[in-house]
Amino acid sequence: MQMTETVAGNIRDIFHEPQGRPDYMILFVTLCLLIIGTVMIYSSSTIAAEQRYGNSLHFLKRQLIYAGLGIAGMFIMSRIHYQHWRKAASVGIVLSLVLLVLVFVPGLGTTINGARRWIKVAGFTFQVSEFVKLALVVFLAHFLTKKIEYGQNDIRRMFAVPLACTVVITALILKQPDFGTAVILITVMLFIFYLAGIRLLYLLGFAAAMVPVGVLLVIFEGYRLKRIFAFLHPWDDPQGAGFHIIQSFLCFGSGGALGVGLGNSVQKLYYLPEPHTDFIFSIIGEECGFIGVLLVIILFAVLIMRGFMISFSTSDTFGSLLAAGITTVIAMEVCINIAVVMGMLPTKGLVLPFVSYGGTSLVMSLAAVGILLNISGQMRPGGTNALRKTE
Amino acid sequence: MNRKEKKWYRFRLFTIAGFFSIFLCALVIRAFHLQIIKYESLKHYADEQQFCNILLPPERGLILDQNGQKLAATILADSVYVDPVMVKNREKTAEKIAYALDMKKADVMKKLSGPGRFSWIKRKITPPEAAAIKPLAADGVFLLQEPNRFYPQRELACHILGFVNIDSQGLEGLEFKYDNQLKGPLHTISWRRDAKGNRIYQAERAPVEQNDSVSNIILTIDSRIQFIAEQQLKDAVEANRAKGGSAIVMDPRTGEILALANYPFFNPNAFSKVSADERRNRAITDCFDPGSVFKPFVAAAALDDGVVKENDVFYCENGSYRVGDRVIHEAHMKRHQAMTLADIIKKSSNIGIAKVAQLLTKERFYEHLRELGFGEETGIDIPGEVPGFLRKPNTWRPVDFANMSFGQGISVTALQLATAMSAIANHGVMMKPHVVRAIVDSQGKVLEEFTPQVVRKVVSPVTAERVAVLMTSVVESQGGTGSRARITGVSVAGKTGTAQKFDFTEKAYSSQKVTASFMGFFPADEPQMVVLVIIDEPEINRWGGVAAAPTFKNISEQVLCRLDRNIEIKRVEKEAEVKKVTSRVARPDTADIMQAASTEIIPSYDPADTSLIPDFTGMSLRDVLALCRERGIKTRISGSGWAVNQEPEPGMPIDADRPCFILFGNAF
Repeated sequence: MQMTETVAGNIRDIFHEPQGRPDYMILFVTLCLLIIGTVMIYSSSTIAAEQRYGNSLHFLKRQLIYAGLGIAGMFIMSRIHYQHWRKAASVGIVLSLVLLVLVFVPGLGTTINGARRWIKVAGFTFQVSEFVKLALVVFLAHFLTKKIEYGQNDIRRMFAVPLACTVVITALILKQPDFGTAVILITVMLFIFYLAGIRLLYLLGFAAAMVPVGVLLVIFEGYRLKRIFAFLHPWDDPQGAGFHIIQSFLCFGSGGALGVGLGNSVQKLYYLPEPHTDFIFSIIGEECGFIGVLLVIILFAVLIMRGFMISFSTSDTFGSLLAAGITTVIAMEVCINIAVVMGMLPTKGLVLPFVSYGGTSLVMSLAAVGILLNISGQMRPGGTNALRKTE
Repeated sequence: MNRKEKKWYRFRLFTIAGFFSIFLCALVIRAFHLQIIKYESLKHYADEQQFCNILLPPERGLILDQNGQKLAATILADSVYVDPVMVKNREKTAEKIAYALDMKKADVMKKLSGPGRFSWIKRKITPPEAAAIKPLAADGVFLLQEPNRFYPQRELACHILGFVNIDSQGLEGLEFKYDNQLKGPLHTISWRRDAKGNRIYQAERAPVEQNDSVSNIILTIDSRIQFIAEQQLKDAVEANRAKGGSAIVMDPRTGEILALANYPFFNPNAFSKVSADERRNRAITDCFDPGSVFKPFVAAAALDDGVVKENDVFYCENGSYRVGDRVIHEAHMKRHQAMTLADIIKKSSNIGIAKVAQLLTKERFYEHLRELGFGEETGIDIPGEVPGFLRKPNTWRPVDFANMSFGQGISVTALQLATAMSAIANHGVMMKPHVVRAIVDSQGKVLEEFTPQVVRKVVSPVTAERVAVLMTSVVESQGGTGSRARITGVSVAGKTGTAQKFDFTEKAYSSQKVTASFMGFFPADEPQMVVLVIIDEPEINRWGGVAAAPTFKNISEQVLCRLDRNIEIKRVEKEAEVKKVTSRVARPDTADIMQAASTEIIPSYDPADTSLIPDFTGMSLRDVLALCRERGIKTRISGSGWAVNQEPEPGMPIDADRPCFILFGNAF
């Protein structure tokens, strides 16, 4: 009896009404992107779904389930005071490491397209790296806040542990292999370090150190070199290495200003591989034209800028770092994905958050937005933050 | 964090936001570049990859006779093609196709393993074959409708029309000459397809309307006359066991060719099955020594120059006339004494005409022949014409000159003869022979009209008239060689010809191989139609007056009877008689007509009485049906062509319940 009361008390303690008004603009923009994504997944996946599974609604149905789960997750996250994540930061990083190792355990880990990125539990596959991204951001924000608040400026004390954690996690992710996520993790870490006030010299040093590592990784895996070649000279081999990116160009090109109309894409009919996942933005370009592309980029821009504004106006260091971190993750994913499909970066294999088909990605992205909403809700109109009171 | 630190923190946050703003702007610029600036080239590239294009000829233009009857039309036929990429099991598919189309499996296999995504298997297949192919669509074997040339009248005018190959390219005749106008530019059939080659039906590219650039051709040929000429020629050639023949019917006033028939003829729908020999348009490609039909031209030249008159008397040397080191004889080894020019033409004296020619001198004779169009192409609009062969007068030996006066030692085409004859018939003015009256577009608007064209004045109108009189006596007078060409009711001018053929194996003129001919026009005083009949190497009747003249007569008679050509008939009261006779008797010859003409009873009923059954004989199916509808007669039709028999008889009252049986046939 008493125990249940304690639990109820704890739950009451965790879930609470945010004291201020959360940033509804972020919520609105996120839902818009989610709707656009769902429609585009339906448009781009029906033919493949019909052919592969005999059910044209296969991917749409799943995406709707994930969207439901994600919205629930977002709601829950928006009701949990973000300060609680500080307690979970270390647990999260340990859990991440465990999960990343478990991926390689036969029977648990699932291999798709030659990459071990998923853990299968009770019929559901779970992409570990999506969780790791969020856990690492929370951990970095927590650890650096601690140091900043204690006035710690020593490079070794302040940055050694986060750096080590990030490098180990990145190494494990590279092992899957998942080059795209690894790049995201490293860049997000650098952004947070930069924000936390590391000397630019160290940052540049670290970035310089990453160059030979990157070169080595590219040399060891032949396909990455091919991808870079294809990126630099796609038209040299339009039927081979350049095929994928050229098909994407043709999507954007045939879309023109106004697009060929929703559902009318021809490129999705087996010309463009993976039209509903990594390259969904190309189908948007074809069906909705430059107008559609502009709209989606503007929605993402609003989301990203609102995220940084939350970080900007949160006086609490942890909240600010966390908001900036989450926003940076989303921004990096958006920018890299769109840059890749438009041939500005070599092919990576990253999804477009909220829009591409992908269960874990969608749920975790929506959960991250939930955290952002919570942070925005803790701000008082006056400008002083509300978190100290709770603590 | 103190104030200063906070400030720096916010600055750093600001730079990060700035970085992403720039990144996002770069993305928008890139999208603008791809979708707006490079739109054209990328769209083009995408279309290239998404569209499957096949070039197909458009529906080829029609060829119509002067009455609008279709001589060459286009129908759609199924063709089979394969997308080799979509074929799952080559062996099996090839077997199925080979079975359905009656092809060799190895041939099919070759086509299935070709490169690319399109390969014809068999073109223009039959409907049952198409039905057998249809279920193979899942294996990448498809049907495509292609326009296919079709000659609904089969052999009719085949040498004029020519034919086309499988890609609808004109190979001979008018199909060849007017290929560009008839075919129009190739048009593209294209459809969008997915990357696996499946057709996306809803995203079809609108076919480009190009029908306007296809022209139809209207001929001067009257298919009814053409049919008569062909049938009569065929009968004559077969009856005389000849090698072949030609017949030309021409309007001398305009140069329009109303019929140009050659035998043997062929079915252009299956041209590949016949030899080149049968496809040859003999009337314009084959040269021969004309023989005696040439004599009127000599007479015309002499009369025109004023060196002779009709009643001038020539001594015909009793049948053997020494010229240089040779001796000239008369045909049939006849022995003539003194003859007037009129007699020379009427009885066709070789010696007489040689003497007439001598009065002209070589040079004038040559000039006249050139003026009559010998030794050069007539310029008819059918390809393949040859100029014949006329040597320069300075190479003539005396005997050559004499021989040429009766048509030996000079090579002419049938068309040259007919054209020269037309010039005489047309008051001495030569018209350019032509078979195309107009080229019209698909809406019937005239694009190009071929109006009658004067070539030159050949002889004076008076001379022409005098020659016509001479030629009339050949047919109409007692003892003329062309008496078998006589037509009741119409005065005919004509000339027979029997020419020895040069035997190239013996290098001498053969006495056995001859060209029998008859050339003439009617009515003699106001000529409206020139008819020429050439029978090549007849074996039964070797003489032009026997082998060719009846054919001339039959063609002319039927043309006169069938067609309303406003030819004035001299003895009007006999008209109905003749009409009656020729329409009732299939393939009449002279004797039959004369006999029948005396026994036939002129109908006692009034043909204008609409309550009586009319006489359908000789009417086309269309006219019969129109008339029956008008009068409310129930009909039962059988056969095709023109009405040849009917039950009940003409003049019976119309009974609404009793149908009238009408038999149609092609033979008269």
